This record gives sequence, C-alpha cells and structure tokens, in this order.
Amino acid sequence: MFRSLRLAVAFVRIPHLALSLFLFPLIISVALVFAQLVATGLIVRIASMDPATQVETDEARSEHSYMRWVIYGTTARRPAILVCRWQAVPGGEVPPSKECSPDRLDVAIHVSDPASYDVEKYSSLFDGHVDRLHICAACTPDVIVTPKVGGEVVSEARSVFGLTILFLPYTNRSISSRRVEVLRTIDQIRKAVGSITMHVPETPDGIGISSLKSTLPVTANIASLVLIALWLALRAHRKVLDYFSRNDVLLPLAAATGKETFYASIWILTLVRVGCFFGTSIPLLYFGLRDIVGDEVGFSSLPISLASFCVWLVALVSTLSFAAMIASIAELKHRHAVWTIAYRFLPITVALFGAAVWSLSFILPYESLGMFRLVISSIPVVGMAPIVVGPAVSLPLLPMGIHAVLSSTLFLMLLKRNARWFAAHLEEV
Amino acid sequence: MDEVTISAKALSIRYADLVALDIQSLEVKGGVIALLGHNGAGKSTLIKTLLGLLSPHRGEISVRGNGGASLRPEHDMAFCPENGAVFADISVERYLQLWCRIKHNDGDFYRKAGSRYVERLSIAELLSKKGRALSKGQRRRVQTALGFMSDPKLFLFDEPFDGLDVQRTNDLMEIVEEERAHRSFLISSHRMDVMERLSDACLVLEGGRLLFAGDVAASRIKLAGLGVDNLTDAMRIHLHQLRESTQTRL
Repeated sequence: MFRSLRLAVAFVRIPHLALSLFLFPLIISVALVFAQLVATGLIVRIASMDPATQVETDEARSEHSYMRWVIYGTTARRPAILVCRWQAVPGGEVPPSKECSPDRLDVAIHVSDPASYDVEKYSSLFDGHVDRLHICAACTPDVIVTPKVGGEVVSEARSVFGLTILFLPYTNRSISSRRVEVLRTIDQIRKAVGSITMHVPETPDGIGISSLKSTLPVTANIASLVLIALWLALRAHRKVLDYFSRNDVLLPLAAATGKETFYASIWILTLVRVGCFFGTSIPLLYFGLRDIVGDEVGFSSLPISLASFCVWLVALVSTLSFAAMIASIAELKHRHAVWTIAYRFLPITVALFGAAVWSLSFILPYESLGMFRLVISSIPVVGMAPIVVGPAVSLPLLPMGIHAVLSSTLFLMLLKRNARWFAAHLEEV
Repeated sequence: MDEVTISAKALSIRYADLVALDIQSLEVKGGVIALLGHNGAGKSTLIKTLLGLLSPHRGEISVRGNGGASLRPEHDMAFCPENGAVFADISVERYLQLWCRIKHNDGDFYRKAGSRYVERLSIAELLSKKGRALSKGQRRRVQTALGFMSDPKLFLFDEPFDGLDVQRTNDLMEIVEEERAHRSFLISSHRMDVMERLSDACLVLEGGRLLFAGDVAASRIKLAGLGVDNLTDAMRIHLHQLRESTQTRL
C-alpha cells in the first residue's frame, strides 16, 4: 500500500497528469454543479413564486434592468423619453431641435406623416429605456419600428443593442401588474387545495406532491453528483493508462513496479480525484441548495429515514456502476464482434423502458400495481428511474435494498466474467 | 556468467477465442536468450507474461536464476519496449528523476550509482531534451539505462535492433556483451543474424506455439546433420518446412 501511495505521489508530479486528473475536471465538474444549481434555483423560484415576491421582483426588474446595463453600462432607468417629430425640408427631413439629434441607441417610428402620428403607445412602451423617440419618415437609429397600413407592424434592429432595446418593454410595470393578478389567483387555488398527497398502495404515507418542489431538487442534485463522480472515476483510469500508453511507458512502468502496485496507485489517484470533487462540490451544493430550497437540504428534507437514505445512495451508485459496466463492454469487444456495440445503448434503453412502464402503471387504478412497481424498482437497470427519484417518491427501503444487493452482485459478476477482456483492453490502450 | 532458466508447462494465454500463446512444455537456459518469430507469433505476449502483466489462462511459467530461486518481475527484471519509453512532455532529466524516485526512492540515483549507465549510454547529452524531441534509438537508450540502473537479473528487450544502423547495432551488442557477466538477457528480435552472434540459447515461436527451444551451439551440431551450418538458415528451413507441412495437411 505504501509503495502504491509513493507511486501515486510520483505520478502527480507529472504536470500533464496533475492538470488533466485534477484541475481541468474539477473546474468542469464544479461548473456543472454550478449550472445545476442555477437550473434548480430557476425551477424552484418559478414553482414557488408568490404574488408578494413577484411584485418585489418585477419592481426591482423595472427599476434595475441588466439589459439596460448591457446597453448603457447602468441598470437604472433612463430619463423621461423625449419625443422628436421630424420636420420635412426641401430634399429631406431634419430633427426639430438640437436635443433631438439622433443617436444609435434611439428608437425611430417610421411613418409617412410624422407631425400628426399618435405616439402615445410607443412613448409609454419605451419610456425609461431609451432617451429619444424619433417620429420620422426615413431616419435610421438602431431600432426602427414601422407601422404599416392594415395594422401590421415591422420592427428592425440594426445591432445587438438595438435588439436588446426591443425586449426592454417586457419589464414594464403594466405587464407586472397583470402577472401578479394571475399569481394571486394561483395562490388562492393553492391555499384552497392545501398540501397534496398522492396515495399509492406501496407507500403507506403516499407521495407528497406539494413537497416535490423541495425533495425533487435535493434528490436530483445528489443523483447527478453521484453520476459526475462515477464519470470522473471512470475517466481517471483511462486518462492515466492512455497517457502512459501514448508515451510507451505503461508496460515498463507496470513491470518495474509490479502490476498490483501499479493499478493500486491508479485507484488511489481515482479516489483522490473523486474525493477532491466531493470536497469541492458538496459544500457548494449544500449551501447553494440551502439558499434555493430552504434550511433543510440534507437527507432530513427528504421523506425517508437516515438508513433509507444510505441504502438509496448505495443503490444509486451500484445501479449506475452496473449500467456503466454493461455499456463499457461495447468498447471492449466491438473489435471482435461488431454487434456488441449494441451494449452501449442497452442500459439506457432498458432503463427508459423501465421508467416508462413504472410511470404508466400509475395511470391504471389497480391496487396490485403497487407490488408490480416495487418489483420493477428492485430490478437492476430496469428500476433505475424509480431508484434515482426514490427519496422524492418515498420508495420503501426493501426495493432499494434489493436493488442495491442485486446491482452490486451483478456488477462484480460481470467484472469477474470480463476480467480477461478488461486486462486485454488495458494492454491495448 | 549469469544464466536464467525459463520454464513453462501447459501454458495457455487467450483473448476470448484467440489463443495468443499455447506452450505445452518449455525449458530453456542461457545468458542471452533469443526470442524469435514472425509478427503475431506470441513474442510480446510471452514477454508480458514473464513480466507478470498477463496472467496465464492455464498452466504455469517461471524464470529461475543461477541459484534456482524464482525471479520476481518487479525486483529482478527490467524491460525496454521496442519504442523505448520517455514521456513526450517532460525532459529526460525529469523522467530519470521520476523513475529513480519510484524505483530507488531517490530522485538523484541516476547521478550517483546510476551515473555509470548514464555515461555508457551517452544519456548526459539528452538530459535537457523533452521526450518528443528524441529519436526512437535515443528513447531506447534512456530506457535501457534505467533498466540497467535497477540491476536486474534478467533484462527483457523487445526488438532492440530494429531500425539501428550497423554502428548502433554493434554498440548495443557490445553493451550486452559487457553486461552479460552480471545479468541475463531475453531479446525478442527479427534480426536472426545478430541474434545468432549474440545469443547462447534461442526460443522460436510461430502462431503462439513453440517451434524450437534450446542451446544455440547444440542446435548447430544437431542442425549440421541437416546440411545447415548456421542458426539463421536453420530457422528459415524450419519455418519453411512447417509451412509446407501445414499446407500438406490442409
């Protein structure tokens, strides 16, 4: 063990390996967790938006818009809009005053009779977003709105900034007040219906539909964390072996250190890599989710016990590992039998089929389907979807336990059965 | 002079349905053993098995030293692959340090006890160069020096003479001659002419099977009766006869 550790430390001193094993994947993984948090935050905020918060958000958005920052370098509203009706002169038209000298970031309304056109609609739309509204026949700032005969309107943006200006009216307070009305109605319905629980025979307490907005993000985020960690672990092995093999160092080094010591050192690097990822992402995810979902973001927010939570984690890791193992057989054997490429798509196909059957079974009103769903949840790969969302749908401990045991056993059996293939593959890389 | 004995019994290495090596019985002893055979004959598989990198599907293989003790790959053997071995993106000096740290727990070993081989194989001039800047021959020299620094009882070379001009071939043969007092060699090669001059035993593989194993001098006497006076011709005749007999059977 000490020799493997010493070897792993020596490997980390190779700059290329240190970078590709730890730095780049960590940056990518942390970015993925961050993206995951942003997506979760958006979904949760949309799902749980109440009228008061919406008023606050809309007012803030109206007063301080990031789109204005993109255009003018400041989020604040612009001064009251100046309406400039251009005057016809021989050979063309001119702005009415010096203050009305056109700027790229102004808006022009192209009409045949600037003097008499009613601009109230447009001045209220763009008020606070642009400095001048030109009513002219042919002036050309970056935004040109042309009302045509028959009521059709064509807007033309001549730059990205102009395009952004066209979207600023969507932050106006007039829209916000209508949205708040809708939210008030939704809120009234929500309060009248109260907490929703769906009764299913296999779960004594039923599935808490109302609480899904907090349980599902926590469950989904933990599941994706496990998935990323597995991906990092799988890639770590390939990275090291590929790098050594590319440089023709794999065989001499493995021979000089002993096969067991050599591979043990790669396992150490893999564990350190995954450990670094968890060390960075778990605090980030915990505090991020706490900000989004609320204070209870650990397993305590889930409707399952600590024991069930641990069994769920084991089941999740083992089922994903088993699926990855089946998929990797395609890579091992495709040079010898082309049809084995099908293995790559086998786990995802079976898992999707299982997910479809499991979901559809909720539609049918038979009590016996509860047992059917438990059986599906217990089968490795077939029951991957129910396992992934297990805590959110209060999946009982027994199917999760059976799934974990079966997946782990099959994983080990498959590994043993294909050990020679994996060994041959390591020689090939 | 140091000698090793390579023995195998009912040895079989398979990749699924493909039999890479199938040797019923083998016993060959020598200071420099030539491992001969065409591409795909099983030479590399045998080397990997001797190094402990591949496990036999069935049967056993062992390498014993002068005293009869089994040699352990990571302690008593060194290996230089056909293309040598140096990381492309680090300097030869850093590679030597890395290797010495792994093998001898001392990154400066190559400056101390190992300096003899750095000098003998003219590695000093390569120290500042990165692996990618080295020729195939230079990469082999670096790995050969590192192999010798480990003071192995058996040094395994994979095609060391491939692509070498006459001068470099003679240099390498000279080094092997110098070192054979301290260690044994198993050299896989297509160059039968070179191996005939250098080796005292040979092992010929064809299609994963053992064609011939034994003492070179003895085999010369044995082959003389066939009207053949050197190993190179003997091997050619042997392989030719084998092909003909295979075709006749078919």
